Amino acid sequence: MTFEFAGSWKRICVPAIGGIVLAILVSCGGDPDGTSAGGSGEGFAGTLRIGAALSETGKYAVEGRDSRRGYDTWVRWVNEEYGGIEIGGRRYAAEIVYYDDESDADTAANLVQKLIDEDGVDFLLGPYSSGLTTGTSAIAEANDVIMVEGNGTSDTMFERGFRNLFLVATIASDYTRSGIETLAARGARTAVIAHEDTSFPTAVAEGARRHLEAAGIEVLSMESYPKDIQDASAIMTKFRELDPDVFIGGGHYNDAVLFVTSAKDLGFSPDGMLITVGPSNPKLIDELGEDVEGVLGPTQWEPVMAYQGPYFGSAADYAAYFESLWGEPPVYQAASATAAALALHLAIEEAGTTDTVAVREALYDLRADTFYGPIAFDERGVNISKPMGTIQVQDGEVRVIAPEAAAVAELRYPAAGSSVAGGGSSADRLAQTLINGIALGGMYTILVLGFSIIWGVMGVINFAHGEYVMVGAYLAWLANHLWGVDPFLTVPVVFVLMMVLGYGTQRFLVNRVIDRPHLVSLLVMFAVAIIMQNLLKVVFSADFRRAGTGLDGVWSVTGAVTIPVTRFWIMLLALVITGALSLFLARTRLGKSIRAAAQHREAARIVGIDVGKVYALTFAICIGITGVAGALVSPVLGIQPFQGPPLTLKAFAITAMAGLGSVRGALGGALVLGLVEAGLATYIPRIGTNLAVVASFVVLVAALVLRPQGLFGGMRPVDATAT
Amino acid sequence: MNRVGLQDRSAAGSLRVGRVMRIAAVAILILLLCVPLLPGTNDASLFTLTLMLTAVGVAVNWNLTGGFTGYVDFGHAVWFGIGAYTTAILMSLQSNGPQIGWSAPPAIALGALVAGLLAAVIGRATMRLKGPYFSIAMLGTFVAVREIVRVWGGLTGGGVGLTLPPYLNRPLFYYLELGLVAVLVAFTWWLRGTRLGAALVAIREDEIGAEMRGIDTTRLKVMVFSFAGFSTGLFGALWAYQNTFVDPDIAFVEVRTVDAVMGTMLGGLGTVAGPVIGTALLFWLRELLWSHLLDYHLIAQGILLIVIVLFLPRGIMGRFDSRGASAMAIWRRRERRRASACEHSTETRRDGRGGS
Repeated sequence: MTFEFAGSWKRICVPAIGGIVLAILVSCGGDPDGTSAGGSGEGFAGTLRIGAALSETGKYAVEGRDSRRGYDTWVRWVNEEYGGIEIGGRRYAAEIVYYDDESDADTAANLVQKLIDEDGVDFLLGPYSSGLTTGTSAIAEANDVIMVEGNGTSDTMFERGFRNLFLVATIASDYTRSGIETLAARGARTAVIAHEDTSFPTAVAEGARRHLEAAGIEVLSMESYPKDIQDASAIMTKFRELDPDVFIGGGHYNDAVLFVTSAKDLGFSPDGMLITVGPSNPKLIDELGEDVEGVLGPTQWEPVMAYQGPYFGSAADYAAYFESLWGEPPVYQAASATAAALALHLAIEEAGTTDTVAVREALYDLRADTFYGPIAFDERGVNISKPMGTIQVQDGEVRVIAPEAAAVAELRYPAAGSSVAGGGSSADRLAQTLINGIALGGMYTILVLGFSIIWGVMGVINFAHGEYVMVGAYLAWLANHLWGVDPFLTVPVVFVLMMVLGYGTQRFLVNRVIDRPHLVSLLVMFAVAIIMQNLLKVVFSADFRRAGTGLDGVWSVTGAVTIPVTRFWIMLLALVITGALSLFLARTRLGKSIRAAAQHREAARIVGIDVGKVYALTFAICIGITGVAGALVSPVLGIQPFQGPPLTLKAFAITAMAGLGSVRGALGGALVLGLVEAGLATYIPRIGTNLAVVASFVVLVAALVLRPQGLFGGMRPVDATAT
Repeated sequence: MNRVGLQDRSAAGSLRVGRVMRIAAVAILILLLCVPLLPGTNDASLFTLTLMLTAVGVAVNWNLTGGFTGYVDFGHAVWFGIGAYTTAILMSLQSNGPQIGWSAPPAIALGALVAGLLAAVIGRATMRLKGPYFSIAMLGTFVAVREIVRVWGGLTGGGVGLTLPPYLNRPLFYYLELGLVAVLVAFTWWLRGTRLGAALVAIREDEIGAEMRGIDTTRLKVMVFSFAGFSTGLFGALWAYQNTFVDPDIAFVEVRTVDAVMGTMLGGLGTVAGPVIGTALLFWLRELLWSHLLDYHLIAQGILLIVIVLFLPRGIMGRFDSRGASAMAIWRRRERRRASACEHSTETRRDGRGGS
């Protein structure tokens, strides 16, 4: 008893003490109290401390870094070039205290509170994104600390009557305004809108609808779609029928890629395409080449804009200064951040004090021309004097076409290469929906096979399935990117490499948990998923990638019914692989061993099957197939470290619905789901694409409850109900 | 039901540990009650503690179904989001929202109630599933509800979200959440000693057996599930009011479920103190990892999870508790039994208890 206790204490204390020692070592090694820029204080009367929580990690890591560079640019400039902020005749150095908010709302709120209470900052600069700004601005308001920001533009946060929040950028609802007005002036009469259903894109789309109506353009349809959308063909099918003059859409960079490619795949070519996020990013032109020609996009700021001010000089001067500091030209998020800091700076100098009330009045009274455009706040704290810019991709270059004050080129409308298509009967729509659904189903088949067989044979739910898909996709992308190899040709190599990876995972990890309860293997694979996502992010960054293929374009069946070529080949290869696997399992000795081990492990062992070896090979083969799936879809889906989980969930839904380890089931279930999703997305107006996401889970739960053995039968019974 | 009794040979030891734990719990509670009065305490430190208490509360609730009845809920954060959203809908005055404009106390209470009621409804369907099927059905529920919240723009403000009238009284929220967590822990502790608690563990150990002994397992399961939903909904409601803003992506966050699972696993599945200690430790560890490893902290966290699961399957508290702590051991035994189900003779065999 006593002995046992001593033993258990040891088991707890050793790791605990180890942890504490590690913790102390870690705390000594670093600076846990945030980082700061500027504020050396030499030759200055004192230091003005400003605080900012910014995302260095998490989903806004890239934009967070850009914003920080923007703030730091101002700090460097004010301390080194400008000679310090002048307050009441004395010069003060500027210092910004930063914390990493991890792109998380709670953390950002916590850190802003900390900046106010513990770091005693005089003013705050905004975080990145509307969500984080909305939460933290309430804390600034409650503590009566002024927050000036340039990267949180949702309208709702300026409805709250806050007196301490100021936005130098154009508010979300006005993003598309100058673009729409220019298009209307050139004769656009009808439009469709598709927007991601998250905060900022929704605000932009709602604003776009108002501006369209005000400009006399009829809105034929407005569609929302979920974050991480991977298939836009249903939306494009609907829009193609409506044949609008203008398409307005977007949410994230990847959506821009998706819309441009799937519009092309389905032969949807409106006279103008205005995409919210993406076109102003030169990467998009690199990636899509000619396809993106003529696409329009809003921009807060571009270095080529004809703005000018006494601070930093012109927009181009600012860009040059920025590039001299960071080795890269500024994106508009960085310029907005610099402008926010500059507005605060000017107000403090005008007030001649750091007193909140005086600086707030100075901000309200501020009228300044800057490199970023004019700054003047209305009673909400929104800069209403700077119009949003609109760019167009012309001859492979980003050119500003609106507003007039900043424009360097004229709008090309209808966009070059746009042809008249569209229309179509309801029979065409049905045919196109079936084609889209079958193509989607073919893709799901290959995506789900490996998952289904691992579950069926080994009883292990591979929660890292989607991550293995991504690894396969990255391998194909790498070959495509470095040596220009077509992703379809990488399949054999990817298969072998992924088999090795799968074999390793099975030997070192899965083997240890295979006899343990489901929860254990689930949690271990879940942890593997987290580790893989973040390793991929470290290696490849969080940017979206896409492999190019020679097998692209469309085959026209009739004018309004088209078959996307890439998807057709994916489906064909999926069928070939499915057939081969089916034959392998049915005819070969190893295949039979695998099925035997799935049916009854002990009995298989008794008849002389080395179950351990069978498991290792099964896992290797399945991961190989999963990697191949990744390689095949790499030209169609966005490749990004965090795109795995939705694929895993889909694989789960299809497998549980169709039957564990059933090859036919995977095919059947994938087709059913593909058709259901395409049908819902095409035939339900406005929210169809969202419903398609929900559909797979409704189908899943219903299938589990109503037909627990799976729709198609499988290697092992699903046996899902408790009583 | 006798099987969960105290006839284990280490019962005396576990009782003594129990007393130490109770004294420690009261001491920690008193200490935490004094925190706002200490010099050097400010809104920031209270807020940090409040966020930790929220995570602890959610973990304690998760443990009620995950640890006691053995139903591992991978979508538990859905109740948090529903509580938060109900409160936001009732309180928000935003122009594109429903503009009901209730005051906070009834809105928060109704937020928790709605979460509890929906949990009862959804639980009736999903609790018919077992093992990983239940886990994934709940994950599916989580994703589906978030998507519904997004598209139901007239009620929820859609993707734009809803802002609440700000009221940032940090000490008040701190005391509220501290009180809630204390009550919850005391409740869990009390529950463990009752027939009801014993029945819950019986469901985990052998659901069919429990049913045969006259336990209405369905009713009990759904009852506990909806209580956990109600309670997590309450934390969500309070969080919404403190954060003054909800949108689908910040109200429905997978990480809240992950934290509850990880904290509970670390502390000890199915124990009273486990979720509290585990989650607190997890927060402390994360603070260290986050501020120093940046890009690598999630990798480190994943490795930590594997280490916990492989080498510390009963968690920290599992070492002390002879009754429910051995959840993993019991599961393992059950799985083993199921694996050899063909040999009927072993079906009734009860092998070594508790695993130590």
